[in-house]
Amino acid sequence: MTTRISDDQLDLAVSRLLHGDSPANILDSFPAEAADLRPILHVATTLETLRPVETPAVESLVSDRNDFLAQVTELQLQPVSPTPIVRLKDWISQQLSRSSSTSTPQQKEIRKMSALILKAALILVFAFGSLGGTLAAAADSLPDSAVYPLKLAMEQARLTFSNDPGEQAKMHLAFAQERTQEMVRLAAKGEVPEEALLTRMQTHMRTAYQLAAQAGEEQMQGLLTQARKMTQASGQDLEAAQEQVQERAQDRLQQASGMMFRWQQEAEAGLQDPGSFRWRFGPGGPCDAGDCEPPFGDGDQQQHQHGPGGPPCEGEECEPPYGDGDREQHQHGPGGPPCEGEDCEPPGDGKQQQNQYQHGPGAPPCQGEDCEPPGDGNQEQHQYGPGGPSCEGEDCEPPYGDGDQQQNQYQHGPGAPPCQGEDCEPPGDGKQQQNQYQHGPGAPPCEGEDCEPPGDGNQEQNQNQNTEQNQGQGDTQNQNQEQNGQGSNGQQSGGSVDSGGTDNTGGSDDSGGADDSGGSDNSGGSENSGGSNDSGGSGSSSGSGGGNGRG
Amino acid sequence: MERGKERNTVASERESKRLQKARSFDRKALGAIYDDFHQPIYSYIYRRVGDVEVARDLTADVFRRFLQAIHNKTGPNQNLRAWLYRVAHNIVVDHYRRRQNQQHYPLEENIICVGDDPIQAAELNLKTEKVRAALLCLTPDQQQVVALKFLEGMSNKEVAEITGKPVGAVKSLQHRALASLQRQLVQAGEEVPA
Repeated sequence: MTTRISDDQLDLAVSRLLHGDSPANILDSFPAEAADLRPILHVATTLETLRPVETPAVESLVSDRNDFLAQVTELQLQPVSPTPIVRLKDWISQQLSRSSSTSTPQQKEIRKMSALILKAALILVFAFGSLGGTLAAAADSLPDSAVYPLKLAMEQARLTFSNDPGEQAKMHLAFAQERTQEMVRLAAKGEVPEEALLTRMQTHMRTAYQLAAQAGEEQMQGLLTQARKMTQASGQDLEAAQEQVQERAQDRLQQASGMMFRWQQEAEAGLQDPGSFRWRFGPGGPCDAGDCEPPFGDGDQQQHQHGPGGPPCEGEECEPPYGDGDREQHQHGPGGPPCEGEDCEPPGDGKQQQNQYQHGPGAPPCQGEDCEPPGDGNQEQHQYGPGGPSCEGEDCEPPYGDGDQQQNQYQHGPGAPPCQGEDCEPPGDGKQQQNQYQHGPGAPPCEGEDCEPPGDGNQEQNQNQNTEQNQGQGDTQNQNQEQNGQGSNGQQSGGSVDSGGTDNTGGSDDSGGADDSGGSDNSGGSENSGGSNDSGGSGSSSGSGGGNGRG
Repeated sequence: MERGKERNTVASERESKRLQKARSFDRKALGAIYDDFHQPIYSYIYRRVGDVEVARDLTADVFRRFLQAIHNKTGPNQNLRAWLYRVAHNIVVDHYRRRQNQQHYPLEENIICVGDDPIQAAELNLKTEKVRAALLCLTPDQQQVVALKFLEGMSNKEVAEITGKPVGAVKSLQHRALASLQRQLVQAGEEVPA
């Protein structure tokens, strides 16, 4: 039951009472509430009876105080275990103020803070350890894995953190090999490796070679040696894996294997001729700008079409697939077509690269004064290199009046037919397409003095050194084989050498033999090359005639 | 007015420093705190329980809890006085609850009222004991407000600080407590003017 007096009125009345005002005066101040206020004021007055306090004896008070201080000492020595955060804060503050407040007693701890910090460190180690486990798992992942991008990122990070180009080149080689292994593993799982894998592999290889081309001599040799081994091993792995996977995957692996084989060949070429390698993959070179991609990338198809052992081509389809220097290399490598007479002259200028591919190993031998070596040693090496065709007499002049690389490339391509007499003059215009099929592989044999077979054993040697890859180059070589009746294995292999130079040797063999009347076949070959008869006028000049026909 | 504020600020800073030392178990600071607050706390408890020995024990409990709180880093950061009075009130309430359980009293607080028990009321023998017994018939909050205001002579603001309630709530509690006391005293045979 509450009274009608309000809380504030009661509080005011009580305050006046507690401050010594008499109840009568207070009630007078609240006449309307006096009836309710009077008993309450009486009760408030009654509470005064509780105010007196009986104090304990002094001894008890002293005893109580001593007990309190004893508790202080007892608790001071007791270990504490507050919350970790509070402990950490106190520990830090104690460490900071230890020197300034030495008088402040330090409380013991149940567990030393250092132990807790050690725990935290262990937790961090485990946390980062799990991250390390994830990274380790990513390092072994395949492209179909969720952590594969992490793997690529790690590789990129490794490359980024390396400042040594040589180390970077090694890394790129290793990463390219990793891509091949991924392809093999994917194929083994029944999956078809994505083309992106091939692209990545190609990118790594190209970058590695570009870096190697900028390295020192010894380092480049080491890198190329390593690249050769790696590409060989990877190619073998890819080939071995092809037998155990599905057909669709086989194609991709075969494609990758072919790419690896190209890179292996590049490495070998680089080891043999570092200068050329530097030019090709160095700054400003054709491979630096990515121009050397076709033979390795999408040019795989062309490779088989125009390579030795590839299907013969006819007419316009038989156009040289390579328009740049890289293609040139394969066309005018060892086994190039023989040349006789004036056509067999060395190139007039000293451009190394030009001559290298024009008169690569296996170039036709030449005899007599016309068979002068090119202006520099390098030219000479390739022009009249091992297996090169022999030439005699005036007809054995170097076919190249100018240094135009493209022009000479197709004039005296692999397996170029020997020519006789004046007809064997080099084409005058230098147009690539024309000349290519005039003296392309399978050019008609020649008769007479000018058409002598190669005189040295290097031809044979080069022929035997030919590889399948080399055989895969140049339709002209294939044409040469068929047109010449493929009279000798040496001819085929000769044509299979990198450049047409070996074809030249083969051609020279053919021309040497009566069968090379196969020359007629060659003329047939000249049919392939299209109008080669036109230029030459004679059968032997069918090649040049082809050139004109093209023209 | 401003001087009073400055005084309070200085006192607050001094108490804060003393508490900081107390948290480090500074023996001197803890002794000073005991000397300052032992008598008020003892008086407060004694007025509630009416027995010297019980009041000593309960007062010792208050300071033991204080030390334990400091030891556990959960003690007061400021206004140590309010903290000690709150602990004292809780200890008194616990004391009466323990007595209630020992005597197998019902749990309802109002039924513990001594006025309902004429035998126990006779044991008190004195008007003071009747009033103290009537005081036990109030709720703990009402008991706390009445004890702090009428026995300890605190203002509404001080009571509000200790109880943690607004001043308006303190006034309301005071009003209901006095009305209830009136009834209890009437029931206990105390003469209350109508």
